Amino acid sequence: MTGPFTARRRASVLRRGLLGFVLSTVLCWAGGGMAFAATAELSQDDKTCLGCHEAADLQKQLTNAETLSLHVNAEAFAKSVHAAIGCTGCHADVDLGEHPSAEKAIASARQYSLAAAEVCRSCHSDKYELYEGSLHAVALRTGNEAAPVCTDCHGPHDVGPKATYATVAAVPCKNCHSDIFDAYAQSMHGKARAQAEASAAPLCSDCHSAHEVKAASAGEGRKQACLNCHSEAVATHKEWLPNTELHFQTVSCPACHAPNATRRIDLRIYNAATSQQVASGETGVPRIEGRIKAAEAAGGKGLDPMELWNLISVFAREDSGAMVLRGRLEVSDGAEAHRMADKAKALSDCNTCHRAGSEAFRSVTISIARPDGRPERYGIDREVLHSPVSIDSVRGFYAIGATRIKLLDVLLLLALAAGVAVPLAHLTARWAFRRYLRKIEEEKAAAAAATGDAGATGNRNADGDASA
Amino acid sequence: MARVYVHPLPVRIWHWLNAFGFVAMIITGVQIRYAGVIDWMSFRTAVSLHNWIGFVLIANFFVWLLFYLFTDKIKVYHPELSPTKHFKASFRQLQYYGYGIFRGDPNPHHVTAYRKFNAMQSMLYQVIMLMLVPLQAFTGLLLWDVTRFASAVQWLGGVRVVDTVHVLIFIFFVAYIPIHVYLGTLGHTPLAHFKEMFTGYLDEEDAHHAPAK
Repeated sequence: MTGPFTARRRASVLRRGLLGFVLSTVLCWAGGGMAFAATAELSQDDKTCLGCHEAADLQKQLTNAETLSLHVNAEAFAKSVHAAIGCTGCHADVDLGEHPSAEKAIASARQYSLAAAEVCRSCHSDKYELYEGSLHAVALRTGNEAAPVCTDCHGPHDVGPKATYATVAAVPCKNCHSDIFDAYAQSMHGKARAQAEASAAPLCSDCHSAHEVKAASAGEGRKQACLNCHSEAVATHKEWLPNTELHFQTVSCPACHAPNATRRIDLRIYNAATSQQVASGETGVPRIEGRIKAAEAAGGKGLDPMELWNLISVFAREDSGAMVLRGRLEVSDGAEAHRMADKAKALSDCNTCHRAGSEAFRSVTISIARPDGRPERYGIDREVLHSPVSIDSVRGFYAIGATRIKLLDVLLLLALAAGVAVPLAHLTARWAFRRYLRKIEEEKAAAAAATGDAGATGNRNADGDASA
Repeated sequence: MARVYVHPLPVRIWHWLNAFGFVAMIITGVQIRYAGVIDWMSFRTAVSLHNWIGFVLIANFFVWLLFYLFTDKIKVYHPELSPTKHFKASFRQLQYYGYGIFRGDPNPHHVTAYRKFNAMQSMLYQVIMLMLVPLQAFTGLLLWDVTRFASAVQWLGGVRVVDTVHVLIFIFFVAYIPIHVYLGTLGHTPLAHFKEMFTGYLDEEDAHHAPAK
């Protein structure tokens, strides 16, 4: 470690640091992690710390050869909500008697952030609990090095009040999810928010929440987040959309409200008994997933209709109990799902989907839920939506016009042909036999006349079928 | 010989409402199923008409059902309990349409007010009115609001199963209706049976073994 540090200042920091630690503990206890005034004047102790740590080039070599900057922007810290608890509020582990210590080994910057998160937890346990149930925490637990921890979003020393992060300019999500944020920025939500931060237009956490971020495409997606603001949406859709509830269950909101996005059908495997989506790791599921993967790797198209039928109706049933596929129409790309247009531009022409070969039904996937809730999707032959065997295997999904079974189309044509051909053939035969019929009648009349029986009047035929 | 009164007023009202309703259901059904291929009307209009007419036809079915349940005319639907007799009569009727009609043979079926259906009609109309029409109405009702009837849909095997049954019955009626209309022209004049369905009276020439011409 480099930088000026004298014995006198060390003693001063030690004394006042202990006071600061006590103060921060009291504040944490009293405030429960509440936001503090951002204008607090820095204490003399903090100024002492900053005497060294304000230096822009103050840094430390870490065990993994990374460099950790030890620079703290004094002005930013003074404005932060943590100014009130001072440096030792978080850095209570620093032994000022030994500080600075060149020997204190830090494995990596990541390791340091993880340790810092535990410090945050000591005051913000409620938020940390929410975080632990999040997609980010699952990623962290499964070893994802990019999974964010507290300081990645809030910064280490410039932690602001909640409102700090609720602006288009400062929202931290965009640091990792820049493609999604770019799409959002071009959406009606993003434009409205950029024009007026006070508008009702949502920012990331309004839909995804700040700490308990869940898999956005799991279940019915973020539908409830949409309905939280657009509470009238169900009623207004019912005015023109048949089977509104069914559409709301099986079609994601962006599928229509992000009109320029590409769409697909995702077939999800559900346990028929529990109605829960099948998740990888459950009994029998790895074998099912293995067959799906093998089919995708073998031909490129994925499972064909017969293979899917075998998997769902035979293999899975024997292996893991009855399973059912439910389809969902969704946007193919997570970023595109954020490019919401004005509602006047939303898709409302039924023919967009309800016709053979419509764009959304050309791309079909089958998915199994990951432990974090996100679907693991595999490509599958789109013919699974049109095969007669799909009456059994894809029994839980049908979209009028778009997923019709081709064999039924052939049957309809045959029925129509029969309905027209049978009468025509019979009529033609009657026309062809008309002379023969006349001759027979004449013979009958002659025979009747010969026997003096005038009863045979030659009435035309018989009893048709027009009555019921 | 007197005319035979075979179609009381409620039956005639039911029949014609059903006839035009079924044609309308087929037209709107084809438009719904083949949107993008056929453009007779918008998908939404077709769905809306299909739903409304469907409910009218369900109500109409009960006109038929209640009329026959509460009058002695139900005898016209009493089945022939002897399979031998039934199939012999059916074969004679089939033989008439396929052969006898071309050589002026009389219709083997003798119509009375309580026995207006020949053997083939008797079997077919029971299948249609007691199985196909109720099943079509029921599956149509489920498809009208899949989430409202989610448990019934699931019990039947899923929305695709319900839809396939609905479409198969629709396909049957697509073949049946033109043949039904054609057979209606086989009275003693081409329009005799159509008049009969308006007046209720079957002309004597059609009632009593009239020979074909």
